[in-house]
Amino acid sequence: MNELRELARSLLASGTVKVVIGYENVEGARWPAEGPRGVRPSFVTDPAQADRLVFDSRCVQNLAAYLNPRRQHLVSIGKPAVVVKGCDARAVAGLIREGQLRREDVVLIGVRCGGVVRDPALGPGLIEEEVSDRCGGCEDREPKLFDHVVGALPPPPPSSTRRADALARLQKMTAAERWTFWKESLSRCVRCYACREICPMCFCVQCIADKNRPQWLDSSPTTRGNVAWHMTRALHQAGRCVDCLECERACPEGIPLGLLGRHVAQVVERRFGYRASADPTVPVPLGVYRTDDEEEFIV
Amino acid sequence: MSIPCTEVASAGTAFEPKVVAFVCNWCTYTGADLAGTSRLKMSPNVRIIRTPCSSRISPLFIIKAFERGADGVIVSGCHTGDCHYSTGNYYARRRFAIFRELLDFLGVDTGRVTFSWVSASEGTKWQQVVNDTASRVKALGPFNEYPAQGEVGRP
Amino acid sequence: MTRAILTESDVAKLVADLVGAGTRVIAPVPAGPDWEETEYRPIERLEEAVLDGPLPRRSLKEFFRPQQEEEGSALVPQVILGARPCDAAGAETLDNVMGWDYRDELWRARRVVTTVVSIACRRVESSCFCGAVGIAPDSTRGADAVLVPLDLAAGPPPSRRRITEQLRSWVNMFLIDSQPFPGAAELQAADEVPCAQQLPPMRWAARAVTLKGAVLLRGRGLPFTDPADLDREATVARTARDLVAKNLDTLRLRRRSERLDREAEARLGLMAADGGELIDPSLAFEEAGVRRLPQWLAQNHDHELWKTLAPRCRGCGNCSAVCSMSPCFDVDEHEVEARRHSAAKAATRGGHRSALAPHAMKTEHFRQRVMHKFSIHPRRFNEVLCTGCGRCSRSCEGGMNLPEILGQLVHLAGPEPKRIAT
Repeated sequence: MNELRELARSLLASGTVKVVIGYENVEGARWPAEGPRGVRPSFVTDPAQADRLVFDSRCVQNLAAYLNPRRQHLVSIGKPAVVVKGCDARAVAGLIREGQLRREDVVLIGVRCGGVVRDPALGPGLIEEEVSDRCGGCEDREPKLFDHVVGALPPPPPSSTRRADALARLQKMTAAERWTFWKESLSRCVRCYACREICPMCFCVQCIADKNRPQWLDSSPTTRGNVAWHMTRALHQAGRCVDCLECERACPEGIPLGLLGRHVAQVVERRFGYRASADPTVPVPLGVYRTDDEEEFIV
Repeated sequence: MSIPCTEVASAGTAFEPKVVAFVCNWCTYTGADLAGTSRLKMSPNVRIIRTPCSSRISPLFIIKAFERGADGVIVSGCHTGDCHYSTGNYYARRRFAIFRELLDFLGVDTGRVTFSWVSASEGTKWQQVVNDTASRVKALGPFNEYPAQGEVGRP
Repeated sequence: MTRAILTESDVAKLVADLVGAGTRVIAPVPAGPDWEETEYRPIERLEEAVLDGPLPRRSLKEFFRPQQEEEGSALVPQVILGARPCDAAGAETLDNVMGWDYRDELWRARRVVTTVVSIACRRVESSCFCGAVGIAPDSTRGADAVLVPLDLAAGPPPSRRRITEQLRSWVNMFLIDSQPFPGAAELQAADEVPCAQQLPPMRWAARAVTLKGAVLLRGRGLPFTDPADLDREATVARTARDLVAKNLDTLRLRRRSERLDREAEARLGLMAADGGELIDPSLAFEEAGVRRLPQWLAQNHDHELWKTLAPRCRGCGNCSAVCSMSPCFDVDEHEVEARRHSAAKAATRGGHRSALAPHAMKTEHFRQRVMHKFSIHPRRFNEVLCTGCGRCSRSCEGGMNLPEILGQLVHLAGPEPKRIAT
């Protein structure tokens, strides 16, 4: 932690960056806590305030979302340094890959990670019931895209089979049962678009959901429109989603959006051997092709 | 395996599926045209929508078709390597692969969707694709499970 | 004023009668995988409801302004049983917005056919700050009838039914050598788990606030005769208010007023704004200083503070979706003439929704939200557009804590009210 704070202090004091985006402790009430708990994103502009920065297993938020170039109020502060876990760094790589950010316009402070909790109000000790679904099998505990790396490598996170079980349960169902499950889950969607707003990879200036000439998706939260919206978003994230699960956390209805993203990511990995990469020069799978891609489903 | 059109039409039940076919202009559309000029018997259940290339076909077209009452969808383009625009169908192939698996994951019977490569000279193949799809979708029945317009989950 | 004591069976009968008559009864029910979450949903029987649970996920606004509403959609009479006082107050405050320059008939119609029965809070979350905005855990604002629980347990007593259901769902998780543990089958079949401790039956002191409430409660329950019940009612209310006051202390929305004598004040050039009246300490609203905000906010549109607050906001719109006071809607006229909830916070989007969201910078957006709630609305309608339910803080992904921010604003807005000795 001190390493992180020192680094932040020196980056700010030297003027290398104008703001360090990291995590800080929450002061004040946060449900369902019995008192002040959890972490939240932090924006440190003054080197003297660098002690606010913390990093531990409560730091689940994906801060890459703050690098969206259309967040004018942040762009206007000046060049940022961002604290990124290995998984978050893949999101930053995605932004660079897709031309939203130039590599030299951000300083990446990688942190070595031992897994995070599902909700920032949990932890900081990491137990199987509380570990995030995405931490199992993580290959990025040592960040692969960074300017600096801080922290010692903690032990790997406890593995949780929660998500694999959920996916297996779905696969065992008949198509009709799965359809009932998804129709029920997605009909609860109120189209608040929190999932879209919070996603680092959803940065389209005009989202297809907002187009009305022609209108592709019902804008009202009808079941039909919700199914179309979530299908579309999952497809637009194919090969780009880094599985940060911010969408699932942001959803006020508790819809299991992570399952959709994970499934599409598994399909992409199986068929095209690709996983959202921390290397910005690796192209996104739907933007390239191989002449020998499988076409067993085409007659 | 081709199922002659007469079997499809005279099956006796009231349900006639609506199948929408999104086809590429250069290969499949021409192939379909050939099937027509050759007077091949094809199921009348399929309505063709012409696009410049299979790569133009967005999953949203297919979703929209289901929303608007289609019971089945056909998506067809040039064989890989023969795309009029050189590479369009390679991209389309990847996109449709993912989309199809997502549909299956959500619980849509993938028997309702057919993907094919039909070239300009393959009139009989187009006949096959059309008839097979129509009879398969007819057997699956109307796609009533797809949410209707205005249907909402909460009271 | 109608008063009665209602027992659980009285309320169960009320629900059954209402449902039988075709009225929709809405109450908090367990929601989500975590038993600690509830939401307002229609029920058929009282057993489905959790009347002593945590604050429901979303407010009541969806029962007056549904997520999607078509012109000419049918109206069903509704009774909301177990509304939290903050949510009931929210609905009434929104009547201002929905009826001042344009009379929103859809809203009005639903308000007319709905009877709100709120239950005074026994359980106060750590994010509740209703006291700071003029509401209390036993507020009657917006309610047609209020039920005050008459038993003050150390915490809300878990309902036996809930324990039973919870255990039943867990039974399958506990296997010994891949076999269910002994007694599992019996547990599965049991209607109710035998409890070592006898839980007291729930009782409420019911009070009608409006004619609609009186009609609903007519003939129900037993007369209020035991003076000890009056004490119990007062104790529950006071305890909850104290819990909220403690929250306000934690959130720094209430400060101990320093006592200065008049001479010292004259020396320091300070005078109590109100001319030196004694301020009743139980009026948390006054001490919270939120009343000073409308003026200060109007004058400090460009304060530096906004720039420091806004960065964490990612525009997800959760706050607006769960807010009991945010009725903003879009009208969608494409295939179905309908209106739906809209959170005009997505400033990164172009097109349709950005026409409603002209703020290019999140700074303006966040400021607008605070201004609307604590300056613009109060200056027009003389009440803040906030019930202190705390949902926004709980759902915020960026950790924006509205009561904490209010505390900062109040601090900036000026000196605390001074208590002058008389």
